[in-house]
Amino acid sequence: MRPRWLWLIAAAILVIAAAWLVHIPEARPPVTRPEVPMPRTLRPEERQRMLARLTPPSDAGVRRGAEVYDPMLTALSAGGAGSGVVLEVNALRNSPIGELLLECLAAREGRGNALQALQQMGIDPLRDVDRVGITEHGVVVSGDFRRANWEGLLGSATGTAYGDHGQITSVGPRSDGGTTLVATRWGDSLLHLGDSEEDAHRVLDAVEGRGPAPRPLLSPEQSYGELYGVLSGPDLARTLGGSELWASALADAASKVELHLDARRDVALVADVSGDDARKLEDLGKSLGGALAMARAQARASGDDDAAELLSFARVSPSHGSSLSLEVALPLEVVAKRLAFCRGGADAGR
Amino acid sequence: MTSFAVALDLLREAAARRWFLALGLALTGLLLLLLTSLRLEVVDGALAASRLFGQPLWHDIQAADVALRPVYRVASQIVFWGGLAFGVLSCADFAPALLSPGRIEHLLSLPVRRWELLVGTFLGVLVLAAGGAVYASTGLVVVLGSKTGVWTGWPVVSAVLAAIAFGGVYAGMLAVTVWVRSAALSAAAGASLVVVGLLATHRRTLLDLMGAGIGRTVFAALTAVVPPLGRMADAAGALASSAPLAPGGLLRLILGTLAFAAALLAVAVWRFERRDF
Repeated sequence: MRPRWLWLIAAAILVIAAAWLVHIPEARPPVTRPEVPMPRTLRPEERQRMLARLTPPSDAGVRRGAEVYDPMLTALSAGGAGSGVVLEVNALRNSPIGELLLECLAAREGRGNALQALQQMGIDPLRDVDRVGITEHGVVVSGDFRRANWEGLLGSATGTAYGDHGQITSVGPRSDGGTTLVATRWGDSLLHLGDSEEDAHRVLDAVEGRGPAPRPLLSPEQSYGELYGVLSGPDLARTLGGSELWASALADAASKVELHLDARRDVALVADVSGDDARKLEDLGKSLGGALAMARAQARASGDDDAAELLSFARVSPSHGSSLSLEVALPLEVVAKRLAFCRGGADAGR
Repeated sequence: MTSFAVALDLLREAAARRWFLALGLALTGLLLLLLTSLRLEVVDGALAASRLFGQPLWHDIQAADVALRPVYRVASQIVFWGGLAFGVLSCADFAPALLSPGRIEHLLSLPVRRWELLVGTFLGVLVLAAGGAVYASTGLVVVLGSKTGVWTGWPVVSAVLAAIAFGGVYAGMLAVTVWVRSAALSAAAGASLVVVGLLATHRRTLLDLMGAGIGRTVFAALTAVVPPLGRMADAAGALASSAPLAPGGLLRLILGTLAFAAALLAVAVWRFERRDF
């Protein structure tokens, strides 16, 4: 008599055979969300970087308190802007994504590009620039500008002195009829480009500790990722553009969006959206999640696998009280594939 | 051979219970419904005009076999899905009847092995399903062929595919019955397998829409094994309408479905061998 468990072994073998047989390979690969770590807090190396940037108060005796501060973030906060974004140029440049972007830029612009023009003026954007911050009151650039040819760049080697280490230079009206550019230097490490002298004074006062402390736009603890910042709801709606319906819904529900983008290898973006009305925020999260799912299914149905792949990398986490989180993860391979068209060469992709 | 004897016995029982008559009447009614609702005179008229005038009367007219392709495709889908639904409902009580007190003891007292009893029941139901599907498709081919002069055997082949698909479903029904002798549960198991088979057809798309977790894992495991019935139906439709098929794909589907049915039968036999009656 045969052992009964032979039937079970036969069943197991047959099930495996059935699974193998009915699994007919499809033309398109399965979409799997990559396991990319999301920027949620300061990494150890970022904490070290943040601590190294903190500057002790000025010796002039007019500083408001004794606490250390980050001049770049203080300068960004000076105008009282509701939105601001900081790009860690140095960190990004030294990442694989940065390499890809530079290759792309070089392939598109050729050798006579803007980077080389700046290098001729004594500033190598890839080596001397540390961070670039943008607010509605201007652009703040931090780095090492000791070798900068200010006369070539701004038309004057020195400007009007202001405060302990400030120099303000007005660069004449632009040829295209634009407003006057006011360049403000603080020592050899900070450059602010704005539209008015009032902005310049505010930046220097804030950095040197004069007058009331500005409301911080970003704290040093928020300086993680290769790009980070804060956007107000209306500013985000304006930035993203798109349909009027989405823009007004976004501006209505979101009062603030905090962005952090990690681009050390893979690209991971976290956008924490906060709002005053929890119900509206919940609806916004559900709408975004639904729109992503629909767009993904639509892209699949219409055979647009590229769009479906990109959409599958985005996820909306449900709102918890007064905030929700949008996460986008793009593996380096996908970014490289997307940038292949502008890098040229054998893997140009088109 | 004993299994075939059991299968024949089941067919005799089905005939005695007027199953064949009911099945034949239902299929004939379905064919008549299809025939009366189709405007076949368009094809017939075009053929007559061609014969009468020596050339097509309408220059945009299609060849009759091309014009009939959608009809054969629809018919094969009706045979496939209609056959599955009819089979699940009408065959649900065969196995519970086999295991009913008194009868099972009598059968086990005969010189029949237990596995032969189960395999014979499975084969009997499979022959019943294949007979119904082949009858329906052959009837359609004969009716359309006699009206249009277009004769094709592919709809009959596609009906055999439908019977093979039902075999996979019925094996599951039989396995469930060996555990719990209930016609309702057997029908529910069959219906569930049809639904899972449909989901397995769109497995990749559905997995793309699911977030990582235990639900996705269970779904992935389940739909990896159950034959994709929608793909079988598509293949049957393509066969019936003489549409192109991916080379090798159909053979793998058929073999996979047979392996799935055999696996469930093996589980059923394993359980049946352990049961006391």
